[in-house]
Amino acid sequence: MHRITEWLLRPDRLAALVLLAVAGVAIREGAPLREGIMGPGLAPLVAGALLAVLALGLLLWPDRGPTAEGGAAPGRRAPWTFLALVLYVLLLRPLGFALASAIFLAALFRFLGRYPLWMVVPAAAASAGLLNVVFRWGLQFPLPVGPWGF
Amino acid sequence: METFSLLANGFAAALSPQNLLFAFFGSVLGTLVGVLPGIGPTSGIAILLPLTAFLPPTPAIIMLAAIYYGAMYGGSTTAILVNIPGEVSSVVTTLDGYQMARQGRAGQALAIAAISSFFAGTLSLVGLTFFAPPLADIALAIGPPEYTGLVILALAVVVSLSGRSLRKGLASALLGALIAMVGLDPQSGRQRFTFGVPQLIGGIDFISVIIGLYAIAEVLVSIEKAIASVSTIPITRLFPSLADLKACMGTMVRCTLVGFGLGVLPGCTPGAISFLSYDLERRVSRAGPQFGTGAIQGVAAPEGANNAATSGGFVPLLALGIPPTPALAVLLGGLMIYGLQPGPLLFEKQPEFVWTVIASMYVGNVMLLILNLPLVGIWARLVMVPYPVLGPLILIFSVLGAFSVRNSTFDVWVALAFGLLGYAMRKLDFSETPLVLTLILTPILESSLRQSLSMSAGDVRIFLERPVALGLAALGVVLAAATLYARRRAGAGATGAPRQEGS
Repeated sequence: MHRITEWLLRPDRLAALVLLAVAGVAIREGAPLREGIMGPGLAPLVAGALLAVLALGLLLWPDRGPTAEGGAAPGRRAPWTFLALVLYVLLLRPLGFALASAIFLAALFRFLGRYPLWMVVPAAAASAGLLNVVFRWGLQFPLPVGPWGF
Repeated sequence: METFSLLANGFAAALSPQNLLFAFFGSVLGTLVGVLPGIGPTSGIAILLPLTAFLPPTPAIIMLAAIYYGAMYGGSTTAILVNIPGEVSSVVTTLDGYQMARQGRAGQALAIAAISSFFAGTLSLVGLTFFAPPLADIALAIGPPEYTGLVILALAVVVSLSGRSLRKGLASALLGALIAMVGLDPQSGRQRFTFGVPQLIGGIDFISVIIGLYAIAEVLVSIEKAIASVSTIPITRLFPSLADLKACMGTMVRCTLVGFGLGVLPGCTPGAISFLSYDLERRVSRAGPQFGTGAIQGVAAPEGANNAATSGGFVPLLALGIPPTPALAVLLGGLMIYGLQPGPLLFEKQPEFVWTVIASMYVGNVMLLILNLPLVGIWARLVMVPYPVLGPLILIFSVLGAFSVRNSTFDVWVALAFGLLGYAMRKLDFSETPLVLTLILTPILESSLRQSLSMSAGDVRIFLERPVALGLAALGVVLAAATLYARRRAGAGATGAPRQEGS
């Protein structure tokens, strides 16, 4: 069991499993739409079948050598930054663009750059305010507005 | 003669205050994108594409095209001053450019980079002016079967844009094809891959996909590298001597020919071409033995070649609708968002648009020479913007860009999902460019294929009976086979540089 888990946990094999799942969805979606060679099901079926073949190949014979970005292991910064981005999008409507952006910028300036708070807070507020002015009033973008009207 | 008159009309339109202003904005933004490591022309165009929605198509595309060729100018600044190439195409510039800077000749290196870029970029535009229209004329006599052949030819580019692993590149292309199928099938009206989500009936928005794949993923990868570079090299004497210029003249002519000649071929990215040009120059130039130690020709060759290739890349894009580089694939998507279908008919149906954009590129090259020579000190100072400040701002622009498509947070979530996918693809060495290419080309391929089969009542022999269709498809197969052969000969990673972002 342990050896199977170890075998499967190679990054390329995990990717292959995801691709196999996508191929499965494509084939399942295309099959009921088959209406001869000109039907809407043909393209998903063909693409799904080809993807399944490639994924099987990658599962059985994963690539060797280092990856382009220097290894598949993610660093600590990217997951936290992405989490901050998700929270930012969740806060956009309840807080409005300006406030949500100021909080997001302050959090990331501090987390990524380790700048002192006395620098981070005014810089984030000024940047968010400037973006709000340029996009809301300058370019007339209908940005989300919070309960305070900005 | 007709070309001259069309180009003259193009200049008249390109020199209007509005078009001049957006060519200038594009040149400035392009130089900025080129100067700043961690953001390339592809992600730059991806972020700014939705923000141009308030503009008419011509100034919008003028600006986006200027970002692309402007980035090629700006990429050399960081390569010369801090040994960090702003773009993939400037990697080879570091070899002699940084050595020149260390010897106190940073000013001359920056100047020859700008002069060679201007010389090669402008000469290649002349090539674009006279080469693209006849190519489009030849391609005009095509129906759905020939269009199918043309798309197959375009899809052959996937092989060369696949990065180090061909099967991963092909998997990426198939993913793009499946994503393109999400929504209503245009011919039967049946839903595909919508899973009961009403927002998916209209399909997945192209802008959200490219913002996620290029801008968000780029930031997530770059913050892990903690890019924070500071230039301490003083810039003195911003003009090369007459002797230097004379020594570089042959180099500039050769790199223009190599850059333009290879740039028109689908799959040859400016990044790869700058390496080829450097290598050629090292072999044929009298200064060859000094290459790598601060030879001024070693800066002129790659910088001229990547700019010539950039102009050359517009030939297949405008005349055939084939994007030879990732950035041009995104630009192709931008043209289609504005309802413009690049390809043979573009020159016939939208001549004012095409010739204004081409003329604006001549103007943009002059602007870039001015921006890059006297103002190089300002650009060099921008290198000091730390990535912990730049990265979060790019993320906000990405969210703004995705939101502005339909004023909907659904598109922002799509961009985030593709950001995560793009990050995973980079980590696992999957090139994202084939995905973008098939995302654009699959609907065209599917509809032209089905139209062709409708014409022949489902008989696939229609493709064998039409010589142009057969020829184009065969050319696609030959191109793919030749690229495969080149990959095998050069070993993994030769034809497809690890990342093609900057190209």
